[in-house]
Amino acid sequence: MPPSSSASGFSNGPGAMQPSDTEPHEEAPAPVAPAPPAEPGWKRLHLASPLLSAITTALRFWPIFLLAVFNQGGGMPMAFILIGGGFVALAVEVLRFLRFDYRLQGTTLVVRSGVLVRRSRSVPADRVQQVSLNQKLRHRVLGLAEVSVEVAGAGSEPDVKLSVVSRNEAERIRLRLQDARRVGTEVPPERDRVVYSQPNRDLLRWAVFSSPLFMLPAIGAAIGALDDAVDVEQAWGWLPDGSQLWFAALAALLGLAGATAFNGARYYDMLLLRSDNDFRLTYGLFTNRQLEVPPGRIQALVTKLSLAGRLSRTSGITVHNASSAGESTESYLPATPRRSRREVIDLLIPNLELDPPMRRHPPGALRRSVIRWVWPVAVVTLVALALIRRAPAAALVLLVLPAAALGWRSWRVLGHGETPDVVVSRRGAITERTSIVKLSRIQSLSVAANFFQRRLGLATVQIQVAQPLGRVTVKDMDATEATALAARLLANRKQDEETR
Amino acid sequence: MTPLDPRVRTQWRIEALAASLVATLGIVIGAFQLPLAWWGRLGLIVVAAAAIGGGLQFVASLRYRYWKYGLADDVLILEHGVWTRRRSTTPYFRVQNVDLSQGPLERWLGLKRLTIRTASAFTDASIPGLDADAAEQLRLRILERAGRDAAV
Repeated sequence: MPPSSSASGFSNGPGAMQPSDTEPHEEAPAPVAPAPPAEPGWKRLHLASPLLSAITTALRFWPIFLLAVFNQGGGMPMAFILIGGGFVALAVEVLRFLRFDYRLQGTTLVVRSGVLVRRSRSVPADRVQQVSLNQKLRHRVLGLAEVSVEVAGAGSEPDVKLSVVSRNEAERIRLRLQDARRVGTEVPPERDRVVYSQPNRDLLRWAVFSSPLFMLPAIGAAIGALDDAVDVEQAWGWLPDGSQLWFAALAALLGLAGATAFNGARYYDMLLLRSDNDFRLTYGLFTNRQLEVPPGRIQALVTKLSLAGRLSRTSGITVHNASSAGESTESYLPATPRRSRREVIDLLIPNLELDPPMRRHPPGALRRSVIRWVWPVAVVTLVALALIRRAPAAALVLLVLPAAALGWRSWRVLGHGETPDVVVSRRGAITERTSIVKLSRIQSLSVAANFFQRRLGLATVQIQVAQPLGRVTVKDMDATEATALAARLLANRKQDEETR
Repeated sequence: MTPLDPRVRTQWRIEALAASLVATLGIVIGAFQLPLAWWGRLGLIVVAAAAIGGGLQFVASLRYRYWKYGLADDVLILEHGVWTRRRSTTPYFRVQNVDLSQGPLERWLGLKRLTIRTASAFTDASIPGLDADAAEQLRLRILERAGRDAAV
């Protein structure tokens, strides 16, 4: 087997590292044979990784490079500093590379790292929350990939990141961890069946509307309304007369196209694959990402209906599983067409009752919601009146009306529901968020009521789940119902746990 | 439901006193910025400091009155809060670790704070003002009931 021979080549000293160069070519013709080698020894990362890491570090200091290029006068010492710094960075990365190795020992991934302080981390496959493969454009050109392995925790321990290994090696690690998770089933694993693909047409429509520049006409209108207060001439004076409007239109158009292209490329060709018992989300035009989502680890789903979503008839779905992961590895389907939203959610959380009747909250909640929106506007208006003391400032009072409307809207959206399996909370005024939390994943609960809520007989239930989502709140419920809901949620949780 | 150890009132009163001293310093500085006669300044300082000091002492005693905790069969229950009253429930099997901590004031009074951590950073399960020995026993009781199942 080519993998085992190159693996043994990896294990010792710099002299033995030569075979690694040829490894991708050897494995390339037979990627369909995932049979793992007997027990490969310690492996190093790909030879290109120190250089790539050094370049990544260097790119972080791009302003200095820019300065060096444009500051020709003091260029000589600057150039020396840059080249010296580059060499130091490369040397550090080479040292790190030499002191970094990993192996798959049975069902455990063991990673040794550290230049001065040696660290050895063992990650048992059944503790893995998420495995993700990332390929930036430079990695794709070179046939490389980054592997991130997420373990549950509140962020105290960093997760394992192999940056970078060859694409085939990355796939091998992913499959090995996946196989190790499946215990005692003899059914041949089902590999990579596409269960859902997000239409690029909907994605692009969403990308157009989600660009913040889409808001420009509204902002323009607001500025037009305040024309007297703001000296527009001064801001645009440097442009030749008559061209201001064209310039603004061009800038807006370019910005819109840029933002659309960015979001469109980032989430391009999104596929949800079913592979044995795991889901895999792959997407990206330039940077390709593959996130593995073990369904058993899913804690909650949050669907987001934003203004852009309304305009493009799509909604965003975020899958939360317990991990210390940051935003980069969050499983997020930004533009699921409204008609297939239900289908995707049922795919991700199968066999559970997810559609409870939503219950709205009492009129006291409406009062609080309106006050919450109106008081900041009222304060701003009063301060403006006190400072300006002119009639036009009084027009700000009119802002109270849309604020009150948003308060009403936010009450209309506010609601919660429960089934024997999940609890659902819906909230938001402009962007509507619906959170579906599995009862079996609730960590703890609290029911809270402040002075105003107590006067209106209201209470807020906070449902605490594992990081990174952390918590879901059901705001301004009827106080007695809130206590009853909290009791029911924990009682149901017990049942669920017993049936396992 | 059990109230906290009464000694915690002393701890909170001292903490409130320290806070009101800092606030008084701010009031003194503020009073000297205002165009007032000396008796006006003195009056302002005395009245404001008394109001803040008294208010904080009052809040400290209310805080003690509303703090209760209880160990049910499978959950830990906390009730507390003056302005926002909160009732928090944490199942024992979600417990990831139990911490005991003791600051200088607490050491002097023989008190400890017990904090339970779960996989959520928002879990509200920290009990201040426990008798040091009682805190140790409480910790053992919670740990005994935890750890039968996977916590995440």
